Amino acid sequence: MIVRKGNAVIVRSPERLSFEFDESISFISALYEASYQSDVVDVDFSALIDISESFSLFLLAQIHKIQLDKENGGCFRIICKSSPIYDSFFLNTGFLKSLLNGSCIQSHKQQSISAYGSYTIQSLFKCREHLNLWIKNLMSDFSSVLKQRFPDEQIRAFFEGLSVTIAESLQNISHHAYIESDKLPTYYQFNNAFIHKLFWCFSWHNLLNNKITFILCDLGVGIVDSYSKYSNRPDYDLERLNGMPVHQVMMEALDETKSRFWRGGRGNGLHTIRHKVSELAKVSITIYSNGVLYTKMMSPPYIESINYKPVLPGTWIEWCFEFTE
Amino acid sequence: MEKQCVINVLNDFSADPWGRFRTDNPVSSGEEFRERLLNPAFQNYEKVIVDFTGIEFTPDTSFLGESFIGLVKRNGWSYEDINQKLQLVGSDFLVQLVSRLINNAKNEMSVFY
Repeated sequence: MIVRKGNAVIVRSPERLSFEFDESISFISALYEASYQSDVVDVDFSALIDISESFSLFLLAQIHKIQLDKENGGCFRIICKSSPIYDSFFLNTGFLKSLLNGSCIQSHKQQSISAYGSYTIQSLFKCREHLNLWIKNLMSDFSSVLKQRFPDEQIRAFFEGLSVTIAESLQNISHHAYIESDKLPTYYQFNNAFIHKLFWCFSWHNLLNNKITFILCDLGVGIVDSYSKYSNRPDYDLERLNGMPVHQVMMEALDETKSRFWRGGRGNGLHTIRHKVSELAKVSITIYSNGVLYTKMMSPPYIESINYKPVLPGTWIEWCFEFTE
Repeated sequence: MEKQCVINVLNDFSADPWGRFRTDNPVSSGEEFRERLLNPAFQNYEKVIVDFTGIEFTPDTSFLGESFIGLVKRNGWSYEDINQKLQLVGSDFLVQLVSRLINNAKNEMSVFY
């Protein structure tokens, strides 16, 4: 993926970018590697014909992180005019603008970058406020149609699920991703994403297929490491976790009452997100963290799967629902 | 000690309670709710009725946990005190959720002691 032409270092994107393809994650790894090799890297998206919403946000977060770490918003030159999705994706969604704007730091404030179309930077509190308004608008837009098929209680419960998911996910950023611990390796002290507790958020309503997507991404320690390495649980239990395969630790961390805060009466957030069943729409949840990709359909047939992927920093969570009619 | 008080979350606190600490939500977090309304009510009344009627959505588990389990973890009440003094008014989902959170936290204590 990394090519040298004279003094230029070029990273070429594959045709498709999505968490389904390991090649996509290798592409991000190549961006990191190239950024160590050269002050300025050309990222060539000419071959790109498709990118998933979730991967686009993850890619944006990783590029912003590298820009911040190098303290150079111009460390990537983006080549994308020949891409078949130059207009539809790079320009119309505002992705290119977000990429080139870089990430901003306001001292002592957590940051988010909302939907590309309305690129903004907000605190965690403001982000929740903004998203709650988004949910209320969605509920009002869909209510008249949904009321023909479902009782009010079910409609309310569905949007309540989305609201709870957003509140739980946002708090995981401050409580579990960017943690304070004397066990943290020293390189976190110089990691700008960590220092400023950066997160990226994306909410999207695709009018063509009535698919609604909410994605949240951070570059913290990850769910598995947060649960198994930065916990105040006793040594014998930390040893038990360290002896387990990573995917099993992930599954345990997603369970009810399981928290890095030992005997803290906590650990219900991810469980609530994972078990919010829906009958109104086809709902799915996907979580990537510490190289584990977890997916679950929250509507029948409730299929759950877990896969290993290459390891990248951070956690990414997607809640996606599609009204079939 | 007076007999009972009613905390109407919508009127006395917020239409949109969420979040565990003030650092998450400086306006209407579980920490704020417990310290400003819930714990003083527990100190002064035999029965505390918390009415969630009319709020926008059921709060997240962080808000509920910090409010009610926080009474035990931070204010020194026992789970028996909570069961005796607290009465919740709200949707079945909310009442069951709080009850489950309290039971889980209580069992956590007994399992690991």
